[in-house]
Amino acid sequence: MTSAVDRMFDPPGPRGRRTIRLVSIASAVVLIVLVAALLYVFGRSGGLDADRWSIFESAGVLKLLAKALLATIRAALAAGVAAMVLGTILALLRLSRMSWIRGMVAAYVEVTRSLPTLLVLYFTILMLPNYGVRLPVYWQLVLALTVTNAAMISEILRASLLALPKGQLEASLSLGLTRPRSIWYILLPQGFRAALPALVAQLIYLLKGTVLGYVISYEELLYSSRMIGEYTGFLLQSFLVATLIYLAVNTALSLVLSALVRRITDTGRSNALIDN
Amino acid sequence: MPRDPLVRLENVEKHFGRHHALKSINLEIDRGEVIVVIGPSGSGKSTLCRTMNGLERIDGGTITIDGQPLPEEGRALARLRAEVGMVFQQFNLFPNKTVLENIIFAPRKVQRQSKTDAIEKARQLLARFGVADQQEKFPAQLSGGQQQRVAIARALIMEPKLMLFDEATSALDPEMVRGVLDIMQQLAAEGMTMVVVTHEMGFARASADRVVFMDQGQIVEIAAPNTFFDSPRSERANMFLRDILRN
Ligand SMILES: Nc1ncnc2c1ncn2[C@@H]1O[C@H](COP(=O)(O)OP(=O)(O)O)[C@@H](O)[C@H]1O
Ligand SMILES: [Mg+2]
Repeated sequence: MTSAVDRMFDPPGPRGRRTIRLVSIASAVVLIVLVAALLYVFGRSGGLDADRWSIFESAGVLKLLAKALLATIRAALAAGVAAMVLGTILALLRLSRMSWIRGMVAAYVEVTRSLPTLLVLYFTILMLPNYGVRLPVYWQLVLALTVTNAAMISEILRASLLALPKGQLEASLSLGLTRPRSIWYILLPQGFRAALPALVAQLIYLLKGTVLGYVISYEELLYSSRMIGEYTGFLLQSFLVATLIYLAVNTALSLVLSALVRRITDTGRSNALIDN
Repeated sequence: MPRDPLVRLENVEKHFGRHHALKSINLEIDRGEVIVVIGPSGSGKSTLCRTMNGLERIDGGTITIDGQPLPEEGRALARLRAEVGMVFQQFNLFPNKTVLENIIFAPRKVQRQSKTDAIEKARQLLARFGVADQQEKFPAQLSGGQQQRVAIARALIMEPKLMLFDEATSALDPEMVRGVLDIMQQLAAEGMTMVVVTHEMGFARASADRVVFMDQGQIVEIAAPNTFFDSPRSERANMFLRDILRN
């Protein structure tokens, strides 16, 4: 299967291939030297000493980390699903033929997407009690993440829906489907597929947004890592472990989501770049 | 005996903003009749075609199909469209569905046919159009001619009473045109009522009952194909035919 990049450029000739090989080897060497140097300096100041890492062998610390990771994933999952659903609804409402609906949704999206999630979180903390609503911290975080990310997702999806060829809707209408059903069965799957890279990026961004839970003492991954670091005195090591965990989770998230959507919306072609 | 046309357009008007795209169009199409619409680019042929299944809403006059006024919107319009097939210049197959899925989509969703019935009918159409071995492929894996044949099958499976073809062969490589025109000729011979926007004079002479010549949003001339091509009455048709013969 050729990649999008391969299809965008002419295949390299013999000289091109030699250049590519040389550049690849050179970059690999530079990278290895760089990492080695970093580790060396870090190690000279004792950063790699076994006793500084042994805390991560303690069952208590591991349990704490596992709990924190679970808290991060639970918040991200709930907010991710809610934001996707709300974002899709908002995007569809903006395709409405009634201009007042479009206008209201546009205003809502414009406002919520320009607000920092942290600010929304402050509002949920300070305002909701006035209305007699008392949410657990978990739901406060989920709510704030949902509000801001749904706005972004609706914009991403709307852009990809508008970019679809106009003939797709017309073909479906001509076959006797109503407009809402045409949008649902024909446009939405294609829109999701086209928006996939941007949607994955947005969901990763959402997952990282869970760190804002610290302002409401929601014990997610970063919050607990800092606690472990401060308690043991090995702050840097704790943050490095947290980094690795975030990296692993986000990579897994992006792989799983991409595979899933590709599967649902297969077009028999190898990538989205050349779909339309 | 009073006439009972399948399609009747009376004083149909259509504007795009300030552009007057259809000017007082009057046309009656009998059951089983094949109408070829011809005319220069921008003369309103596509617009005329698209008013007949409500893809363009008219702003004057009336359109009657099978005795019923064309519904303006909603479910009634959708029901009418299910009985009027349309074939587009750009095929407009659904890229994320296989050939078979493209064809059974409307029978399943609109007519609620069982999957086995729909597939059975789809297979017959595909076999008849010479694309039986393509049914598991996606549209992008087919040639233009194959895609257009699938698009015709997708419309025909609904058993429409009227078929609209808007320049169905204009986007095809020359060697693909014949296969698609053959299918259209077969349909015409079987008695399908058809409105065909095309510049293919061979098709018009072989299959059209009448040729409608349009220019600047008006119907300038309606005649039998041989009469029209051999001795057009209007000066505009004369000029147009000279132009396309030169190319
Ligand atoms: N959706 C539209 N919006 C604005 N103008 C349009 C639209 N569709 C068609 N037109 C205009 O109406 C005229 C007739 O178009 P069309 O029916 O597509 O002509 P033809 O099919 O004969 O080439 C053209 O001048 C075209 O620019
Ligand atoms: Mg046209």
